[in-house]
Amino acid sequence: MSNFAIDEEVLQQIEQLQMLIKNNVAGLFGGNHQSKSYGSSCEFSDYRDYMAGDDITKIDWNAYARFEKLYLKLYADERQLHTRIYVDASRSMAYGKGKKHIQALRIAAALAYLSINEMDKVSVYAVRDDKTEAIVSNLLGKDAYITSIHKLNEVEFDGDFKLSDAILPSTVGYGDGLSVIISDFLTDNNFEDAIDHLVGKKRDILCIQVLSKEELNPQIRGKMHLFDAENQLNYYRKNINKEIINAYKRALEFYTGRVRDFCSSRGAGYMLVSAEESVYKIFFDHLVNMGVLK
Amino acid sequence: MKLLFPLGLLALLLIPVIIVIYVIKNKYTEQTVSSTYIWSLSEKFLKHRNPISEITGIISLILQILAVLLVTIVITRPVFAIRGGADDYCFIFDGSGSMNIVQKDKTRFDIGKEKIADIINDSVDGCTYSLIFVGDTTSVVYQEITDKQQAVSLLNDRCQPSYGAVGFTYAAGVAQEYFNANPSVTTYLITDKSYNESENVTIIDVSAHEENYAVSGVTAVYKDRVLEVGGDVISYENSADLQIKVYVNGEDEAKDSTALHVEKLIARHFEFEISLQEYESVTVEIVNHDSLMLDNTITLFNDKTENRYDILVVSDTPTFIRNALMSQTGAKVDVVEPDKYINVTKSYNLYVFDSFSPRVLPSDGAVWFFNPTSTNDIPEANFTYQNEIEIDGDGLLEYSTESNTIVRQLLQGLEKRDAYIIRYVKCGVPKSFKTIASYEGTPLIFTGTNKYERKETVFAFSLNDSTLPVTHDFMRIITNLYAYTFPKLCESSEYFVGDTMIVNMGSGYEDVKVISPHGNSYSLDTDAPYAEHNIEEVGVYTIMVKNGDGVREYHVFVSLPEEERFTTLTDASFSLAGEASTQKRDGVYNDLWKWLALIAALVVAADWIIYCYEQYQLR
Repeated sequence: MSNFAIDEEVLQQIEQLQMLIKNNVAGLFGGNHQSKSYGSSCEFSDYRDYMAGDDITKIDWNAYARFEKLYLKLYADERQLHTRIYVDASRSMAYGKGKKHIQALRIAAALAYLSINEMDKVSVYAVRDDKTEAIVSNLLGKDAYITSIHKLNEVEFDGDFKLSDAILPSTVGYGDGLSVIISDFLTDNNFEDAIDHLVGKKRDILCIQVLSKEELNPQIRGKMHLFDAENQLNYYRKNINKEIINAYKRALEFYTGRVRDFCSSRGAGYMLVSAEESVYKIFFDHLVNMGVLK
Repeated sequence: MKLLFPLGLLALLLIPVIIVIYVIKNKYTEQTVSSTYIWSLSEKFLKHRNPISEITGIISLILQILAVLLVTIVITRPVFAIRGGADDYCFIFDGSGSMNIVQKDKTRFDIGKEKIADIINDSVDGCTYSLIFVGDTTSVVYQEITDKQQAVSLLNDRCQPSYGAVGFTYAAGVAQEYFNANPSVTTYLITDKSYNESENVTIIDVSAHEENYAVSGVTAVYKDRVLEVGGDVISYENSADLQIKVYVNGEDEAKDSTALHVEKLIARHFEFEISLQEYESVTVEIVNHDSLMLDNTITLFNDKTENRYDILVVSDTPTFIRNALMSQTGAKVDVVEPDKYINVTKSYNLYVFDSFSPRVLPSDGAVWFFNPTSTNDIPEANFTYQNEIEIDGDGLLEYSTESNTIVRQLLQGLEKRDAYIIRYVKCGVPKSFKTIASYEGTPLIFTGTNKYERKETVFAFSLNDSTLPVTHDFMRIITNLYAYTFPKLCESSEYFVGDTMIVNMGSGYEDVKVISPHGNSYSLDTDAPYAEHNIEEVGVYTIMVKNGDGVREYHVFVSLPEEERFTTLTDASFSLAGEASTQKRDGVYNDLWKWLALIAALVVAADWIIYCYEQYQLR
C-alpha cells in the first residue's frame, strides 16, 4: 500500500490555480467552467430576439420598454466538468528505489483537489493490466475529497500497463473535462490508441510521465543482468559502461521525445517529471508554463 | 631445453585458479529494474563497437594467464642449448681388424662405440660432433652435427669394423683440418693401439691386453703322397701351452695334432707330415680359445687341385701330348681314338685333336689341334686347312719375335733350341690369331679364339714329323699353352684382409662370383681381362665360375693382417699440430628468465591498464 503525503500547504496554494479547458465544455450541471453555449448562470452574456416558445421569464422588460421589442436576456452557461485521472498501477511504477508511484499519487491527489476546488467531479482510476479500476469515483466537494482521497493509498501496483486495452472499453465521458494519464510510459504496449480515443471523446488530455532519478540518470555499472519488473522474460545483460550509459540516455531522450511529440500531435499536453520533484514545482512551474493551469 | 627448477611448473596450477576466479568474478549481477524497455532500446543507440572491446574481459584473462606462464618459466629457469655454441668434438674411430678382439662378451669395437656414445651423451647441449671412421675406407660419417641422438644413431648404423689393417693418415689429415679451423675442438682417438705420444688428441684405449694367439707362416708341400705342413704359432700377451691341430681336405677329424709351449712374443715353429692319397687343402688350427679367434686358423688350398681341368686327347699316337700334359699340369687326361670320338658324351675343358678334325667343333671347351687334317666342315674353327706340304730336307721351326703379350707369355722360359720339321700343313690363319712359330713365314704354331669364343691353338704339323717333342722347349710350350688356355683364376690362394684379389677372366666365363666367408656375394665383370676385388673378411673366399654348363669353385684363404693381431705399438704417436685453445664454451643460454620477467611485468602492467580503463569506462 502506498503511503503518499499530501502537504496541506501545497493544497492551499493549489487552490489559487485554475484549470484551463480547451475543448467545448459539455458538462451537465452547473459548475465553475464557462461553456461556449448559453446557460442559466448569474453572469449576463448577451441578448437575442424572442422567439415563440422561449421562457418569458427571461425577457428583458426594460429593453422592451426602451425599444418596444422583445429581447431575451442570455446568461453564460457554467458547466460542471468531470476530471478523470488515470494512474499507472503497473509493477514498474513501484519497483526499486524510485518513488514514481508516490509521485503519481501525489500528482493525482493534487489534480483531484484542484478539480474539486473548481466544483468539478473527479474520478481517479488505477490502470493495471488491461483494466481500469476506479479508486474514487465521481468525487464532488471537499468533504467528499477529504473522506475519500485516502483510498489512493490502497492502490496496489502490480501487473502490466496496457492503457489502450484498459481505456477503450471504459467510460471516459464526452467533452466534459480533462483526462490525465500519469505513468512512466516505460512499455512497448500501445498507449497511443487510448489517447486517440480520448481525443475522439473531446476530452482535454494531459500525459504526465513520471520517471525515477535512477531511470533518468542510471548509476548502475559493470556486468549486470537486468530483469524487467513487469515481465521477467525481458532482460538486459551487458557490461554496463560509460558508452552504454550514453546510449541509454540517448534512447531515453528519444523515447520521451517520441511520447511528447505524439501527445503534441494529438493536442494533448505532456509533461516529464522526476519522481523526486516537488508537487509545488510541478504545478506552479511546469503545468502553469504549459498553460494547463493558470 | 632444460629446466633448472622443474618444480616451478607447479606454478601453472595458478592458471585454473585464475580461470575459476575469472568465472566467479565475471558473474553478472542480477537486478530487477522497473523496466528494461529503455535499456533494450539503447542497443540501437550504441555506436559501432570495437571488436577488441568485446573481448576486453577475455584480454584481461589472457594477459593474466600469460603473466602466470611467463612467471612460471622464470621460476623454472629454462636453459637453452645454442646450436654450435658449445664445444666441438671430433672422434676418430679405429675400425681395424684388431677391434674385433673380444673382451668378455663385447668386442673392442663395441666398447669404442659405447665410449663415444657416453662422451656424446654426457656433453652439454649445443656441442657439435664429427666422426671420422677408419675402417676398410676412411670416411667422415658426420661433420659438426648437434643432435646427440642422431650422432649416436649414425655411429651405430654406419660404422662396422673391418678385418684388415687400416691407415690413419687420411683421418689425421681431416682431424687436423678441423683443429686448424677450430683450435678448441676436442679430438678423441678411439683405438686399441697403444701410442706413446699424443698431442691435442685424447686417446681412448679400448684394449685390455686380452689373450691372443695366432698361427702364421703356414706352408704345405705335397710330394710323394706325403704332405708336409709347417708354420709358426705365437702368443702375444702371455706364455701359453697351445694345442695345434691339422685338418686335411675339409675333413672334420684332425689328421694330426701337437702341443707346444709358447713364450710370449716368441714364435714357435711346428711341422706335420701327413700321408695322403690326394691333397686338396690343409687347415691348421690353434685349439685354445682367445680373444681373437680370427687369427687362430689358416687354411691352404692345393693350387694344382684348384686349377685342375679335364682334358680329352683324340689321337692314335697320344704319347707325347698326354705325357706332356700330365707331367706339366697335373690335369686329368682322357685319351680316345679318333674313330671313337663320336661316342664321347662327357664334357671336357680342353679337347686335343691330333691328326684328326672333328665334324663338329666342341663348344664347351678349348681346342688344340695337332696336324689338322681338314677344317672345311668346321668353319667354327676360324682357321682353314689348305694343303699339306712336305719340306725338302729339314725345316727349321722359327719362333716368333713379336713383342705381343700373348706371344711373350707363350714363349716364356723357352730355350728356343733348334727344332725341325719335315712336313707341315699350310693353313689360312685369321689376323686375330697370334703366331708362335713359323716356317719360312708360314704359321705353324698359332693361337686365337674360335667362333665359340674358346681358346684355340693349332700345331700345323704332326709331332711325329718334328724334333720339337724331344726338346725341353716342348714341355715349356705345353706348360705355357696350358696356362694361357686356363689362366689361374687368382694369382695367389693366400691373402690378407685389405689386399686386392685379382681374378683372371678366362675365355667363355659367363658369370664369376666371389662369395665372402660371411656369405656376401659379389659379381665380377667377366668382360675385362681380369677383375679386382677388395678383401674385407677373414676366412675362406669361394670364387664360383660359370663356364658353359659347368660351375667351378676356387678357394682362397684370407688371413687377418699380422699388425692387427698385436696392437701394442711402440714409438708411435698421434698428434695434431698447432696450439689448442683453452677457451671452452658451454653452449648454454640461461639468461632468458630476465627477459621473460621483464615481459611478465609488462603483461601485468598491461592488465592493470586494462583494469583501469574498465574502471574509467564504468564511471
